Amino acid sequence: MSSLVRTLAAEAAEAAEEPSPFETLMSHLTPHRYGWAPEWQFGPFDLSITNAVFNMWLAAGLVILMFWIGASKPKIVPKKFQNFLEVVHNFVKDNIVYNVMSAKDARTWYPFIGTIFFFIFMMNFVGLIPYFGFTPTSNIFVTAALAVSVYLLAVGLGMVKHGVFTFWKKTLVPPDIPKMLLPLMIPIEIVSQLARPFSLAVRLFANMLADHIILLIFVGFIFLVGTTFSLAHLVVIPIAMLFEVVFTAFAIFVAFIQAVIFAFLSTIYINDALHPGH
Amino acid sequence: MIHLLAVAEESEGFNPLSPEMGLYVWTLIAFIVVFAALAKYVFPKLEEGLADRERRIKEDLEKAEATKTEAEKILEDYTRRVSQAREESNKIIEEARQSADQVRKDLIAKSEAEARLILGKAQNQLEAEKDRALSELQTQLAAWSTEIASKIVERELDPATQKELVEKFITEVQKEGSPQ
Repeated sequence: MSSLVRTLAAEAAEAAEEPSPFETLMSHLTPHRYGWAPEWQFGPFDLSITNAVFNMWLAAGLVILMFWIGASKPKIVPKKFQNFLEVVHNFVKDNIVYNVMSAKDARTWYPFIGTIFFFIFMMNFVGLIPYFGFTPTSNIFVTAALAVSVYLLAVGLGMVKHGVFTFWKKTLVPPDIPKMLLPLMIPIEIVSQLARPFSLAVRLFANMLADHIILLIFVGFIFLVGTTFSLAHLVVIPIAMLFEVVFTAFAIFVAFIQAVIFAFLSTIYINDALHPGH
Repeated sequence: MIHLLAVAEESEGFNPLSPEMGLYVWTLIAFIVVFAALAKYVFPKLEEGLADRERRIKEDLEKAEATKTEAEKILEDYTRRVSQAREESNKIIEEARQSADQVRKDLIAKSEAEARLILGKAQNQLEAEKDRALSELQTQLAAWSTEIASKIVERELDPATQKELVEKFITEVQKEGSPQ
């Protein structure tokens, strides 16, 4: 795929001196500051309002608005939207949180995991809304912020609950293992622990990025055939449009699945930290 | 990926891994805001709504069950009463039929007796009429026979002889012609 992208980019770059359509499209994958937004730089943190920040707040606002409309005054007999929200809510609650945790832990942790699910799903989804077009979760710093926070929260809770030494002993030393194997097992467990936030962040980021690269590539084909009418238009444009539609539908599915996976793994990590050594 | 990154470097610096520490901070802030809103206002309300619905459905089901049992009891009672009423009505009809039968029989017997009485009276009357007619006939015959006899013998008979002759004649007539 990468060679295809490179070829397309190279061809596009050759065709015109000004920014090629491909470059214009690819710029959708990079956060950029809006013209109207002031530059807010605090040390290493650039807090200026970029399209990523805007869409992230859009997602946050949409989640809150969605629940405000659908669930602020829950009816005994739910209407369509409330029903939909309750179905998703129950799905996350029963199939993710209560599925992994004990009922007592699940009651405590559902709001957190539920927020992770709905927030991530909405961030995945806003990128598919026309004109907004940037997916906050296709940036690794967004996913890393969530993944690292979840992991640190889990580990921190475990250490507070069981004591630092007991927690790490139970976490890094598998039960009933011959002492001979400890020098091998402990490094493996350390790597596995470190891999958790990393894999959590990269999985979500890579999926969302790849999803949008695919969508942009198919749009790119349409730009690449040029403005002079030729036979290529009749062949390329319908096929590209067809794939665009199919992959947009697929992208909605991926947005949902990735949110589920992130929420599910977060639940498992938190549960592992609450009950280490199981 | 490396190729992609290389291309990205050329074309206006598309680099998905370029450091965006600001985004990291914004994500945390946005997440905390969403979490606070959902955890404080949304999920408790949603849970409460769901629990409320569960309770209501349970209550309604129990109520429906109780109503059903009661309805069944009422139906059973009703069926029993209907069958009782049917038996009673059958009894009443049977009784009515029997009494009607009795009345009919009585009436028939009474009318038969009356008919017999009327018949008897008629017969008696007939008998009396017959007797009267006979006696009248006897008197008439006596008169006629006297007349006839006097004409035959062409002589006057004294009343004593006349009476004797008439009675003798009558007796003879009775002997010869009387059916009884």
